[in-house]
Amino acid sequence: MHKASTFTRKSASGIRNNAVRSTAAVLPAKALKLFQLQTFVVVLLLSSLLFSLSAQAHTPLFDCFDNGDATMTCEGGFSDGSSAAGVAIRVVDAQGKVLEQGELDADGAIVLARPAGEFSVVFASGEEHSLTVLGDDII
Amino acid sequence: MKLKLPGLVFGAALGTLAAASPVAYAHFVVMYTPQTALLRASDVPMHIVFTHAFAGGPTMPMAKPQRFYYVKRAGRGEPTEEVDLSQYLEELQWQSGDATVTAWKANIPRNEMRSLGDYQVVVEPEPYLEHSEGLYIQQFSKVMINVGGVPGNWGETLGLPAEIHALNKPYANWVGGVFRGIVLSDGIPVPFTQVEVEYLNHPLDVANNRFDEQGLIDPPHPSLEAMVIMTNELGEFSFSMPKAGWWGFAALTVGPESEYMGMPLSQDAILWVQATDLPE
Repeated sequence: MHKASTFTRKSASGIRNNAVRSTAAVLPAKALKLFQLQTFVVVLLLSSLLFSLSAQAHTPLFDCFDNGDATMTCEGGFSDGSSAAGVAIRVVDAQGKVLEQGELDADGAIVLARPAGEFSVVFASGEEHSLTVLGDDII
Repeated sequence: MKLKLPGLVFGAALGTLAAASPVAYAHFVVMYTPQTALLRASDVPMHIVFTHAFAGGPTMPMAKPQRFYYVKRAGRGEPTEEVDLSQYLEELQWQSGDATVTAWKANIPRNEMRSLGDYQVVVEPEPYLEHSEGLYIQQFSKVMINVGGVPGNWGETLGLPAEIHALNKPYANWVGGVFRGIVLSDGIPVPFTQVEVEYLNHPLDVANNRFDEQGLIDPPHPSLEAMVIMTNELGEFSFSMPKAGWWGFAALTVGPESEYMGMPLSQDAILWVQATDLPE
């Protein structure tokens, strides 16, 4: 019934557009081209800086729940809100043998069969981003 | 004489506004749960008590809320999902002085809130008739709970008639951190309006359905009990929280409806924010 909207994003883009317009109005064409090129380079540099910062700052998060029907749902994500879609999920037994594997879907979730005996579920997003949930903790 | 006219008109307009918008101060729908930043999914106990938050009373009787639900977004790009929680509401009698009044609790089961992410939990109460002030009060109240640290829809407006839109995660604030928000009336920012800020000064004694008699803060001046700040021209406010615990923000008389059952109605917006001490 209540429609959600992202209020702040609209405001921010409005302010940015105004700033660009007012700058363009006072610069001659040649200077504007140079300005645009410089702006592009700065934006590119800033973007890569931000990207690398966010890549360092996000923490992987992962948990699984028992669905009560011999299946379990596992969900993953990152603390900065970036998507974990496509991250490999492996169910392994006590000896490390892979019993089942798949990938997190667009919502960062996967439904897996719950094996009998001792097992754990591994969220494998690179070496630094590997997390394990023990089967006993999946309730 | 001509020069004075605009001033007179302005004064009259302000007078009309004041007469049409009576305000009842210091009332808060308290939505209390012990922890809003959960490491893993668990049952979420919640108490819903209509009271004077800083003073820990007097507490007003509260009819069964019109609506009690959460709003969550399953994943990026997915539509938000609204889940009705009213089936979990249980009536209880809350101690207020020597008497008891009706309040509510809900034990929201783990299965309802087990996914990682944010849950905006909302109470839309029945309007409450405040006899002493001759008006009805209806407080659209929110608290946000996060499971597992994955951020979700905490920064999204729900579109309530009166709403505080959070600009910081309400469940992730260090003591001393600045909390920011925007006061909205039907989604439109409300400039230069009052926001009451109150600390939940008397912890809930949920075993005995009452607030602790002893407050955590002994304020040296009345202005430090129910603090009043103003929104700026964009409807924004900010407040630095000096103590761990629960801080309630209330924007009064900002909703679009101003009359109910032939009497004035104050549609207020409440948001509860948790401040956390830095670990030693």
